[in-house]
Amino acid sequence: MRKVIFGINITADGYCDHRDGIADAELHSYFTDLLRNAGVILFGRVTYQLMVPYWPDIAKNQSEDESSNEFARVFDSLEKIVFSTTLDQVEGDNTKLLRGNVAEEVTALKQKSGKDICAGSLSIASQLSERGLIDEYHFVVHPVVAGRGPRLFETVKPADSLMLELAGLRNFKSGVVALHYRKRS
Amino acid sequence: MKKLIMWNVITLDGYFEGKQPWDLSFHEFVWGDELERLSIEQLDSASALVFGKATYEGMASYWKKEKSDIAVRMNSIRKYVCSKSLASADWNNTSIIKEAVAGVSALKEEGDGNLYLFGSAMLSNSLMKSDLFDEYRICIAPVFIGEGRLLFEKGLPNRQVSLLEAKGLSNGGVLLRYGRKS
Repeated sequence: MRKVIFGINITADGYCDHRDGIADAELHSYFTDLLRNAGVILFGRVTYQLMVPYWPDIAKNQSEDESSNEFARVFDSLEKIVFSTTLDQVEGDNTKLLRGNVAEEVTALKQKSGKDICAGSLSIASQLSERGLIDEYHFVVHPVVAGRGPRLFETVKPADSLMLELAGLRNFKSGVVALHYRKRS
Repeated sequence: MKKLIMWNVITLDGYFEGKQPWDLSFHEFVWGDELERLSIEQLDSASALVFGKATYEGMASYWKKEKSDIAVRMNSIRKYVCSKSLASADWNNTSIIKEAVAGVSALKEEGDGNLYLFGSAMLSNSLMKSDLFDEYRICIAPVFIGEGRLLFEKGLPNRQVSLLEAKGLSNGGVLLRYGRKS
């Protein structure tokens, strides 16, 4: 069965505002590696619009430093699914727009063979997590007290506590710490 | 100048207690030899402890009855409780601070050593707004609990900090230490 992976930048105080953080080469390559193992990435509308067309443009123009360009190429080539009831269309022929239930779609996707399924946004991850559908979490913790931004489980809360096990911890030169957790079986 | 150090255990979703006051059941997932050693080291390096009212009262009623190595230290050490309403505080060696920010700032000015602040989320947030912490020590328990009280409120001043240490515990807890960004 395919694994569902969720990777997210988060500040030391637990907020996920994309303005707060240190986006250096080490960070980009960490997320590039996550995406390389993925066959598809899932978004809600907000994060999708934050990522597209920003990253596909960089993939096309190769206009940033090497680590950003590489992330952009891997991101751009990946199959994408956007869950939205308000969007009319999405860009690119490797992107699908779905209006259905995220958890049901992912349950069906997990049965198929293929590479990992990557949850690409907080809203998707909260909905999947609440149903126990995420197998691995990567919390990439930035040395910032942000005091602002969305949190995981802001709109959807798990009914019971969900215990994880620590699978790895990596220190970046910037003071960023990547925490890798697995769902307890 | 004294250093003010925060020490807290939180869940992966950021709660320092569950839905009910003093629901700290997630502590059991990370409590063990490593945190016990750290607690003793911290108490041995502390010149005093600082509390908010709720944490003070809960800790006082718990520790007064205990006899362990940690309890002996908790009961004997110099303590300050920040509260406008408390008239008296009878846990051994306690003084009351009426105005938290002014009082804790003044304490920091007196000599050297470490002041530790355990729990006390409301007090922590007001001291963070006044930038009084020199170090944050957080242990993250590997669990989502879904509901409870957050340690770090929205609206704290946006500030970079500097990572001093990140360490995994054998039971899956993660210890993070942050200092001031120089």
